[in-house]
Amino acid sequence: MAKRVLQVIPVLLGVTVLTFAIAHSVPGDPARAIAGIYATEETVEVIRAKWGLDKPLPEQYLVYLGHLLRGDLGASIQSRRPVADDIMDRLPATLELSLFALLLMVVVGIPMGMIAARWRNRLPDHVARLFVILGGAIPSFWLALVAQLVFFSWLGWLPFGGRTGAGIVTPETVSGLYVLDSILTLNGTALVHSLRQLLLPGMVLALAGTTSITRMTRASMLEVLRQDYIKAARAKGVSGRTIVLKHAFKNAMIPTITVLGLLFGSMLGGAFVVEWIFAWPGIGTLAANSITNLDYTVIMGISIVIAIVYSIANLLVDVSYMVLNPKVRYEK
Amino acid sequence: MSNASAEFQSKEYVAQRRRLTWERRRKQARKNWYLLTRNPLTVAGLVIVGLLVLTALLAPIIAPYSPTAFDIRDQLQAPSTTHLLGTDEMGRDILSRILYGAGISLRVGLTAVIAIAAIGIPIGLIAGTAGSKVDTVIMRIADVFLSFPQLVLALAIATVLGGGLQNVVIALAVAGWPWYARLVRGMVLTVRQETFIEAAKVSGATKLKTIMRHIMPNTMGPVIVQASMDMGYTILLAASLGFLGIGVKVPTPEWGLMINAGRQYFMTQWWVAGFPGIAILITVLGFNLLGDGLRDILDPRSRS
Amino acid sequence: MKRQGKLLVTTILVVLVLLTFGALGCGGSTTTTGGTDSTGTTVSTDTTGTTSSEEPVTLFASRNNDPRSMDPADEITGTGGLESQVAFYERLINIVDETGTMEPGLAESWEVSEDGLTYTFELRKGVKFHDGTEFDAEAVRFTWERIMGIGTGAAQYWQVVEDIEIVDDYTVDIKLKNVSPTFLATLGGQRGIYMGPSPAAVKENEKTPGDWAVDYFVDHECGTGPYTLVSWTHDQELVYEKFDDYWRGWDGQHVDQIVHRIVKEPATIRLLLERGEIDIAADDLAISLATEMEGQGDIVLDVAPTTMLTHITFNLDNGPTADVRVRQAIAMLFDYDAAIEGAYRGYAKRVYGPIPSSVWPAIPAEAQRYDQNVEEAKKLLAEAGYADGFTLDLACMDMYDYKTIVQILQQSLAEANITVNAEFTTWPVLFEKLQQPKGQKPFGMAAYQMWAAIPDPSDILMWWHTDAITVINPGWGTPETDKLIDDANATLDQAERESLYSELIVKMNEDCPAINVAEMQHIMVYNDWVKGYKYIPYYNGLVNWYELYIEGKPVN
Repeated sequence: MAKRVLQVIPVLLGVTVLTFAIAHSVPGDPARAIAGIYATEETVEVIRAKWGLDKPLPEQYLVYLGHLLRGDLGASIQSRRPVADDIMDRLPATLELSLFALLLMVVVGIPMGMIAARWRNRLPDHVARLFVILGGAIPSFWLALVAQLVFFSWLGWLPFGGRTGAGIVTPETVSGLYVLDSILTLNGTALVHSLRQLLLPGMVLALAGTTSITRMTRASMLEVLRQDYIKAARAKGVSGRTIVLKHAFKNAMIPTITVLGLLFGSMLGGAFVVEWIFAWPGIGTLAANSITNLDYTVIMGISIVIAIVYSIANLLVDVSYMVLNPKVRYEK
Repeated sequence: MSNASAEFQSKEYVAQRRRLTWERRRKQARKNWYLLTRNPLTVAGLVIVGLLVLTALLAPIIAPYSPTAFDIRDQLQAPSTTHLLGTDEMGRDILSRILYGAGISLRVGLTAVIAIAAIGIPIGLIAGTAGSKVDTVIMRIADVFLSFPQLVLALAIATVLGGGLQNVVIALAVAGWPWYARLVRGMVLTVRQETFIEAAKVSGATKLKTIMRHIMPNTMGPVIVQASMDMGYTILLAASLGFLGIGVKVPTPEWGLMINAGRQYFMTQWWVAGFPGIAILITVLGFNLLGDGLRDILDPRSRS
Repeated sequence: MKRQGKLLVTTILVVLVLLTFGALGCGGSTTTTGGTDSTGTTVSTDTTGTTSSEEPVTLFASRNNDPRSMDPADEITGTGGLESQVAFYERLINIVDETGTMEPGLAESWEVSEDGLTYTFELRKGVKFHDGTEFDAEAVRFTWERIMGIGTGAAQYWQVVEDIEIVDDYTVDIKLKNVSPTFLATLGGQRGIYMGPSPAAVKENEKTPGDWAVDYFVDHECGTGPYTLVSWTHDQELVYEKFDDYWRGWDGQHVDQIVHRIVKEPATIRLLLERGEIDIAADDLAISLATEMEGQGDIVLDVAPTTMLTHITFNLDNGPTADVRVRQAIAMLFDYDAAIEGAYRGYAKRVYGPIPSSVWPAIPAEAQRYDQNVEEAKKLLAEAGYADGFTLDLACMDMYDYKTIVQILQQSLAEANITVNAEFTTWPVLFEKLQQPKGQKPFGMAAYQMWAAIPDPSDILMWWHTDAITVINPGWGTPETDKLIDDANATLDQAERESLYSELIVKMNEDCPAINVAEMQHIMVYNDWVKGYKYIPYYNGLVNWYELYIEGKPVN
């Protein structure tokens, strides 16, 4: 297992190289972007020198890496604040959205999959499969627009987006995750408000993953239910419920957990678009802004953070996989 | 299937084996067709994909208007008898644009999947067969790419390369190859354990021959399944890039781009962004259904 | 029983979840509307005002993006933060109408010396910065020193200043290096000339001595303006509150608090406006969207002339467009009417020269004018040897209504077999293309806007000087035309300047370095209970928050 953890390091290094290469290949001159349209050439040069943008690329990379290893993500070219600050401001928002979506996926997807497996080829199964098929084919950005149209414009049930602002009660900051903080500080209004803001973006984000989880759960439940040891348990007279909960569940969950890890990663990507459309102040919005403004340090910072989060998620998945199924031969 | 060792070389034996192989293949094909058409959902997928291909090919003939010609004074008209699906913000006929857009989406999806496979499969094969040092290096590199959400990576690369169909395909390929490489590598490692490989080695087959004749055919199944299922996802990704403005260039009738353009009118002139979204939905649906059906054939474990 | 039990539990869970969603949803609509409810966020609603015990009035505005910086010495673009800064900082001189009439701002009066090199300003007394310190001559000089010391954005607007002399506490002498007919207008203009932050605040917040507190003033302010920045939640909202000691006072009708909601989706801004959750859309909306909203709910449109025009410039050195006949042909192929009707929904006019009609001088009668004339255009192209057409690359911003204009251009030029490949990029990317040296511009055509930020044609025409070729000039100009521009900028004689600029315009039209698409009108969208809005072309996009007030808003 230690080996598996150590593997993360060269990968992260590679991530920095790749991101640096990509970030600096985006067309445009960042010094000019900061200086603005009306600035003179001299002003632009001043800015360029100030941010070390006139040095050759490999040198810039090494400088950056040096800072990085000391834990310094640098300062945003645009906002002048430390990149770490900019990211920490927004990371909780994205995390909360992703975790909420993940929760929805599990709470809706797993029971649906199990019901579908239990009543195979009957109505619940058909409903679930219809859901999976349609849900997996809807473009999320389109769905976001439609959801806004229906729930905000026509029905007025949910807000159009946003996380804070006039009229929205937010709790004291403990973790940065408003729902959690509301519970911890026993702030009922804040809890209701934060859930309400989370709902629409969370549902849209969760859709694709929910279909995967439903399908996965259903398939693996079916698989497991067919196994000999299940038949044996039935023959012995063990009740259906015990069968499902004790014997089948644990084994059926293994592939699901694997998928969850993958889903968390793909959700960070989906969050990008969802954050944009629902004005959710997370990392996705920060990333979009910094790409437009050619804010290299922020782009690098975000990529590294995403890569770390992703790697940790994958690591957790692999580890739990190994724990749940000791028969897995991991590396030869 | 290819358990034949080099020893039995007599002509009659070889001919007889060939005949038996062909018969077996025909039976298998018939069985596969039965499996494919047994499930109504798969048939639906087949029909959708078929219609899509037809639409793409016949668009110039069946489209009532040109997809790019416009009269700005006709902009944002609701669906009517002259424009069945309405007009967009420039006054172009949406139905015609959707019909032409089918070809674009199919082309992007197909080329992207082929490119991904063309890069990922060989790399996966190499990783699986070339020894653990090479394997580790390749897998670490793949992990670097996999550390990014696919959409974000594709978006970044497409931005750097500039827009356009070609660059979208490249971006999708760069973002997608690690999955295939990993998949193939995993399959290769598994297959290598199998005894018939040991038998082939013992009988003196060269490494390359082993790969080509024994390993590859046994790993292709899941890869083809993955590819067919990925068509839908790839088309979705390409549309996402179009929606974010990094795809094909205006005035190309790409569905994602159409949704982007229609976005600001969505609350009132819903048809501009509404119909392209439905088109994407149906397309991805078709490929997903088809992919599921193919998986039922090629990967019997998941058959319910 | 047990089997069904599992199902029962699951069903109950699902039902509970659905009920919760429903409950949350229905409780939703009341608290997000506008009005005086500002609880919950980290806003200190400390209204220890001199006003009577009325409820504080809050204005809700929408913004298209998150600003970058509140420092007027560093950030001088509208969307980067200028729109916010104008609530906190003030100018010495203010322009109050579309003709460019100047009124005293922080300066009560001013005089120009005989030789035009010294401007003496009498400053207003009793003006306080937000930190309580006094605005005086020292503050003016300090502002200038700080701007030059920081050396970015605002510095270029003070290039002509040699020194600022403090005559007494409320009098300054600004000494210029050379005569400048535009100096006063610049001081009353849009960028780079705001007074502040207060010297005390700067000194107090320096991290290292002499760094001018640049980091601090990115998200803090200390000006003399009517409002203070209370909070800024990135990508979400900004909150302003009135500055009680503001020198103009708070008699009359004003707004006590302003909440800016950052909403990037235009469709959402529209909805929020229609539902009254937003009172005014502070940032420009695409004209096509704005016109859609007319008459919806309580929305009104304020339409006013601007000093802006849209043009599409040519590559004057490489490719087919290097030939003046090709350029003229393209100018005669373009369907101007479609652009005006389609892209601008009629809220624009034809413009027949490099400056809009709101800027003097008028386009001379003898200047060549281009209208759509496809036959003539084809003849010219054939004459130039391009009867079979060619392909061009067009660089353009992914903004506003450019997409529509570019597509109209593509269709117009297709008549003559000219294919236009359009590349929509962000402004920095487009700008980089424009900045390439003469002969190396990487585009065949480039589309963008020109506008006068001061009531003086030099603000547009100076960009056609050859010095500006590495800025936005596509490569036009000769020593003769340069001299016209330089001479016009070196004299204070109005008549002489008019004649010089007229000559320049005639030469430009003949040479056709750009297609002048249209001069646009400005549309401001807000609900009819917002009063006091006035569009000043030279402050395009900057709202005078102090003059806004709310009357007749339906109570929710």
